[in-house]
Amino acid sequence: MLIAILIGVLVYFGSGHATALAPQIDRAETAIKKNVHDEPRRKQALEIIGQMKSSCTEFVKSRERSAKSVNRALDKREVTAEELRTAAAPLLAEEQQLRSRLLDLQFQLRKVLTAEEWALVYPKPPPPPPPPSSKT
Amino acid sequence: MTGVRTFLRRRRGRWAGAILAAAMLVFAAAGGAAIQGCAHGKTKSPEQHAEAEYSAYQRRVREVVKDPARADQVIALTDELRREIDEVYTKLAQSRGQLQTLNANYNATRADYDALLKQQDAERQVLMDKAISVRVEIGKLLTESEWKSLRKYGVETVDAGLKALAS
Repeated sequence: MLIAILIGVLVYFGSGHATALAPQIDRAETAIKKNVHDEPRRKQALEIIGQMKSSCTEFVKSRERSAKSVNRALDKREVTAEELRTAAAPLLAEEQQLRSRLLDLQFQLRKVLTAEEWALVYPKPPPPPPPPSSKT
Repeated sequence: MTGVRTFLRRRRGRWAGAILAAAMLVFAAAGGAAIQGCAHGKTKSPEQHAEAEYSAYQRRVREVVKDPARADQVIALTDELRREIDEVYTKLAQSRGQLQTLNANYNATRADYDALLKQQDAERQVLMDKAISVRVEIGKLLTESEWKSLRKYGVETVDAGLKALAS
């Protein structure tokens, strides 16, 4: 139902924050393999990227499990706001854990890569498009 | 729905696909079984599909909730949720953009991240509180049998959608 999905989307809104901390894994691996010529650093960087990938995969699995309890709560007509918040709490906690883990790994990676190499793993996003009202 | 449309136009790649799935899911679930009735072979844009599903959901509310005043209230609350969803997508695009900008800064500090994430968490909390409040209000407005009739709409789609988002 619409309401159930809205809560789901809001929860995934948070997941979006967390996963945005990881680079695009395939692109990052390719960039590191191609541009980091120093073998120990390359190996270390790829290990960190691998850990990011594992963390995201684990998160997706646990999120699916936790989302079921949110759905169960939403299924009750007379669910209270408190019950909904309680049901959503594990999902939010998992997201916080992932965020923290990815940030730890990101800062480990900063120590391994040079600024130039970093720019290949985490490129600048394209500039935001102009607001719709300014379009001609 | 301007924000959703703008967002979908602007975003590409895996995450955009997930959001598109979620956007479709929101309105597919709202329409529930009416989805099949809307499939006439002519391809609709996601926005047109969403509009059609939303209209179907409104019709379904009026069929199930015989009291017009209560039906109006449920539809008004659903409209409010729609606006919320639009805001969620806009905020999500902004938030990810801000994080990507920070990611690209080699000299960013943990404190920079903490500040940005704190601000984004606060924004999300406001949206969640509003959504929860509307959900609870809708539950109070409906009888148990009305709830059961409307609840079954989209429950399976919710699960499918969550899986799609998680993939």
